[in-house]
Amino acid sequence: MRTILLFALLLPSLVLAQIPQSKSLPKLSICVFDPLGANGSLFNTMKDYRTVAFDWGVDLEPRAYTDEKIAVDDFKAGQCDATLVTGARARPFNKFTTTIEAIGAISDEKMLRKLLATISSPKAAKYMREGQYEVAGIMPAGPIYLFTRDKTIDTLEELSGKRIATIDYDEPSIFMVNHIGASMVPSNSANFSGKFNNGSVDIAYAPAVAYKPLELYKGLEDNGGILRFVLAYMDFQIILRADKFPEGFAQKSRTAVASYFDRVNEFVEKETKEIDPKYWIDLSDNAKQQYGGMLRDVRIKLRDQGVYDGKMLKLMRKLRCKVNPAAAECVEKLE
Amino acid sequence: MYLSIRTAIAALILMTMAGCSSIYTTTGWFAYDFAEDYAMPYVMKTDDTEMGCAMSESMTPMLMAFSELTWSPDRLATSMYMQAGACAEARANEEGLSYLRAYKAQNIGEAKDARIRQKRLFALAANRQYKGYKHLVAEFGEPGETCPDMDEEEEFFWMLGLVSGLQAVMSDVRGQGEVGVPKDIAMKSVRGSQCLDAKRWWGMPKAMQAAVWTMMPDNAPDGVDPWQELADASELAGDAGVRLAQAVEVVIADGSGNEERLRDAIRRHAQSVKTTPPNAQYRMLDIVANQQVLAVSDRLWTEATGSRTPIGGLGTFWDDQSPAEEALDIDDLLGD
Repeated sequence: MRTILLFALLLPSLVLAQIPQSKSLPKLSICVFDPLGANGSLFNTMKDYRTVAFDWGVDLEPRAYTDEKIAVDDFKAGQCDATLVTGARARPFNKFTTTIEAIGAISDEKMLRKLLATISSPKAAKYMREGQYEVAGIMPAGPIYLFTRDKTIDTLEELSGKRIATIDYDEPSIFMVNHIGASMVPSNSANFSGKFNNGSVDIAYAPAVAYKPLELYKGLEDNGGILRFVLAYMDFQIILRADKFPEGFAQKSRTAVASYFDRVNEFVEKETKEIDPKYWIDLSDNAKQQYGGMLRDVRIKLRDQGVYDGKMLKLMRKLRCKVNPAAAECVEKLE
Repeated sequence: MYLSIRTAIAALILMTMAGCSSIYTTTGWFAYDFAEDYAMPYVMKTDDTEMGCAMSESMTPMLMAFSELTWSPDRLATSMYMQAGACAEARANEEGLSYLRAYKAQNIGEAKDARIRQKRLFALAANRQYKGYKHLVAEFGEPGETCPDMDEEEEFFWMLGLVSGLQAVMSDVRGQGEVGVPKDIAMKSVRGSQCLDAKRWWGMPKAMQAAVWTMMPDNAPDGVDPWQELADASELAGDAGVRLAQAVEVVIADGSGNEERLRDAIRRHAQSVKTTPPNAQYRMLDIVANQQVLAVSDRLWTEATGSRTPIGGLGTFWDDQSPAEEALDIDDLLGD
């Protein structure tokens, strides 16, 4: 859904493989967005990925970018042959995979695991390529929650008129903030936490893993809270310029990256436990239904506007209905 | 008769134990005072990091054992753990070079293994550095909110503990989060460093603050260029002969992905080492800083050439153009 500073994100080390032979491999590069640049965990993960990519026939040199926009621009300009960026920034390259971050579409980690395994399988390969670009892996980065400085704000009506730190290049976020009648305060991954912590916004949305490194408890203080309702699951995606890579590279990569899910999830759960339990605000079933219905309306509108991909929304609706077949949406089939 | 012998033996044992305990306690106080007042200041003046590592790695458990008899030597523990952490970090950097060389040689199994070894060592470093930070908290309280009332000696330990906290977070990230160092101690340490005078402490408080601003530029005051601040801090460090702030600048420039900026920071450090001798009192810290810069230079050299910085080559790069010397015409010179 959106770029958030992830001082903490750790992704699993890649599976060991052998076959060290002397080969002359094409030298390619990947523009890696990491808030900590070459010192960060995403960049470090790409050092491991490089050794695995070698066995798939490519010498893929990672290059660190602390500014995600520049990473994408350089990739578009052909400065790199691949890029690793957040789902929100990857939207121009693949509508299908970036719709995974659609608001309220994924109920829990089990569903996300199933979804990523499904779309990373060879059968789904046809959805991974759009024009010259191909998705070569999706790494989950955990659930995104709503952080509020006033814990009495727990209904949709109460969000109206509130100032929300909004990632300004993310179309769904802007649409959503307008939809609930809140006031958008343009922000980015490097400054939203400061705005939340010093009170210049009332509300921010962020992944659970940002809580500790960005000290979001400073903005929550004594009166704040976090709605225990997953707005979306954040992810990072590896995008390739397909014609530069050997046949079959992207599929091997997707399969490998999908297998890291449990390790990443374990990390996210550990970080989520760092959140002081007093901050969690549990919603009533009624409120959850109200939120769920509203988010579905937003998804459908964004699909109709061409932002979200209809096929992915349908796939996610079907996965939700496998778990909860009695839900109204399973009869209505609007997605 | 039998009873009185047994009583006598019991009394003897009790007396012996009490005697031992008092000897240990006295020794504990002696060790505590000696280590803090003499050993640590002495080590700070030395120039052999290998010996420093051997000392901190071997002596820390023994000194800490005396805390069972005296009180916990938190200030000493902060500096010992910080130093031992730096030793593990240096070994982790070596494994990073092994990874690069193995990859270049297309020995992928070895490259992967080197990465795993590197991560284990970073986890060890994070574990030690985090302990250093926790001893700081035990001594002075949690940093980040208010400044404790400190004399100059206490300020020194305060700064070491904060550096240890910041390094613990970075090492844990590099070690894939195995230790679970709380990530917020990075920001707490940076705020805590603002309790110190930038000039007195060799530009370190300024460098730590500027490092955060480079990552979150909107947090910097209007008109302040974080990179210029880092360079200014490095200058203070150079003037003082304790170049920790220069190591911070190099590490942050390395992270930024801007190689020209990184090379410039390394060149300025190398120049500073040539022109200003280390501060005699804190020679060890200056050498540790130098080794951190050298580690980054080694990585750059190894990536480009397959081997580390040549002897005497810090501040130079493999593709530097040596100033062209115009050749004279030999025939002119040798002709009549």
